[in-house]
Amino acid sequence: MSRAATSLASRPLIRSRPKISAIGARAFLLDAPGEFDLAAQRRIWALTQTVRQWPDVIETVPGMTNLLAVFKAVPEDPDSVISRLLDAWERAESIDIKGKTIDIPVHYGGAHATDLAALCDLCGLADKEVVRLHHEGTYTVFALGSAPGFGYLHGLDPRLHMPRKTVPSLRMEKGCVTIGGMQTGVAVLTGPNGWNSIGFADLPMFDPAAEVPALMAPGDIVRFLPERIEL
Amino acid sequence: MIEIVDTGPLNTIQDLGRPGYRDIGVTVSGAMDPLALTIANLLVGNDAGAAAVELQTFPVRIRFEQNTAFSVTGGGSAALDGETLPPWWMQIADAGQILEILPSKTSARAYVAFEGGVDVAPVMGSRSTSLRGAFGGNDGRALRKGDVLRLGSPAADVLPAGGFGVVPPLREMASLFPVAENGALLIRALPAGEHDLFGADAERFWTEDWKISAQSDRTGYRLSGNPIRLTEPVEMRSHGIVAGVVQVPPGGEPIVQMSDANTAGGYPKIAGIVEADLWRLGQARIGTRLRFVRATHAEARMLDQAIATYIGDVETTARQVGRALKAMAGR
Amino acid sequence: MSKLDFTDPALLDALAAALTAAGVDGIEIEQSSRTLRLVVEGKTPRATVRPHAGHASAADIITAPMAGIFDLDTIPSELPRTVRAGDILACLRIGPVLVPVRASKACTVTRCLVVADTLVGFGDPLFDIEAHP
Repeated sequence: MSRAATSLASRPLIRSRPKISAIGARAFLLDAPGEFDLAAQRRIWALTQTVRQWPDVIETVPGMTNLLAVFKAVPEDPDSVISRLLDAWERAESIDIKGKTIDIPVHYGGAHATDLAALCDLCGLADKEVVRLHHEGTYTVFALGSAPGFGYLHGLDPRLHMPRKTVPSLRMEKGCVTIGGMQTGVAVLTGPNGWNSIGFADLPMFDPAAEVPALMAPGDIVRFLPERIEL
Repeated sequence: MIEIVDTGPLNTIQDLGRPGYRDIGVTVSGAMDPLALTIANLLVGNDAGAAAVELQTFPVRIRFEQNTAFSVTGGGSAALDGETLPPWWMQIADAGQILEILPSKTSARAYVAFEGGVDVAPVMGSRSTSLRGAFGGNDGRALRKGDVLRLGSPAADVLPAGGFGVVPPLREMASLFPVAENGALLIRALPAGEHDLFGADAERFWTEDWKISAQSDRTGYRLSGNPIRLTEPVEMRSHGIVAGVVQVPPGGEPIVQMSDANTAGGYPKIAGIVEADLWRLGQARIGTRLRFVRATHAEARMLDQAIATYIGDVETTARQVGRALKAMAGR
Repeated sequence: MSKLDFTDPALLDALAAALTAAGVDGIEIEQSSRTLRLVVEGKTPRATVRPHAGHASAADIITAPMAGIFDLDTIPSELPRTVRAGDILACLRIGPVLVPVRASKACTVTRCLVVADTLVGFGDPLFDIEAHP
């Protein structure tokens, strides 16, 4: 669902205070001011750690430089919730989550790389070069969402940025290594998908029966290892 | 145990859902009408959040392998071995009896609860089926003809042999859940993040009727009506969402996320439906017309409290009446 | 209808709970030979039992299985109606709960004796019936 940052031109985000809005009566969304970058995301992580400890909050969902806070009940005084969130944002120091490093072996190219040719056309680079830029990158898990265990990875070389498709692929395999806008990730479900596939990874990202079901967590570092390159 | 003798597609085991895992991308799931599921459970002496069967395609036939207290709430017209049951009703079936549920004209979904609850393994704290994730419920899939489901141990409460029912919430709380003069459901919502960026179209969102289109399921309802559009494009970053969010994709026809909502979204959002009205939407059939009514947090609180009072009354009174009937029958 | 022992405290408790739930503070229960008067004051129900002078035959009436508001909205109630033993004729509403009034035998229900939405007591006659042979 992310249409992140592919059409930045239209509405410059010149604001220094976060924007807080409601989703229904029990959830509040805080959008960080400024750029879509690691610094803003680190502050969102810090804010998440604070807000998740509030006794009236039942769930915190960090997104791309934003945080959704779901309250246990509809607050009696929504204005005070907004001031608490603003206050917590002001106090939130940028934190660096000591995440683990996850190495993901990738089979670049081949049958699953359905959009590699289109990406080469778009960026004007050879497929070999595209693959090299992708696996040489070091990525940070910004947040999880959209599908069980799916990590939005930040750190994609700008030359590889590629907008999501307007018409999604109807059946993309779980495991496809994909690019959506300025982000990359590994598909965790087989099904319709608007991101662009350039390879395939066999590493399971999610196990509902495990104590920690998702392999990735915000702040983790991800590296893609070229296990095989088939061009 | 019970056996699914006959079922339509997409009928699933649900409870009150799996909240708390949106931050790892796991959909909440759970009953589309959590109020009906709660009452169904209370009628058979279960905890409010025990697992039950959600039916949205019919007919469904369920065979009881032994004497079992069950209840049917929400939509659906139920008969036990041909004997029609009143709506929102609990009864005790004998071994071998067959419960048949047919669709109701007014509501989309029926809930069948069983004494002890449906005993499937909880996954991440819930027995709800996540069809998209293919886990939870019965093997992460919809019910099929021939499925045999185990039931949990019944609670200690003795249920009245003659059965009993409850006054349905729409009758008991009629004044709180109004419809428009033209029959459109009035659904209360709060403006969401991008509301004002729709300019004059935002006003039309609140004043015109919308229709639930055929592209609607447990994940979300696509509404049809006069498209509404942003006055100018806006940068959206993927963010967490909750059921009830009303998003507007570029085509201009809103999508309401429902129980199997995605956990993250990036479409501009014009409104968020108050939770107390979501169960009515969960019972709204394809083709139903609705109109959004701008609400406040205070109104949402009042509605939540009214629903909690109704649930509390059902729970307390059902127990007292059960005891009284037992005391009289025991002589 | 079975004989009730109105000296049994468990029964009185249960009745009192049902009364509290129904939002009433007292009730009279008539059996064929006697009347129970139950008054809820705080937590302790007070009961008095008074024998009847004469006997009324209960053979051709359906009586209320417990106290509650007589509800005809839940079950279609066109009369006369031929029913089997166990069929639901009406409900009694106690708070949001509906307790069924069932036919004790196969019969034709000829007349409803109570106005809808009024409070009835345990044992009150609700329907005239003609039993099927």
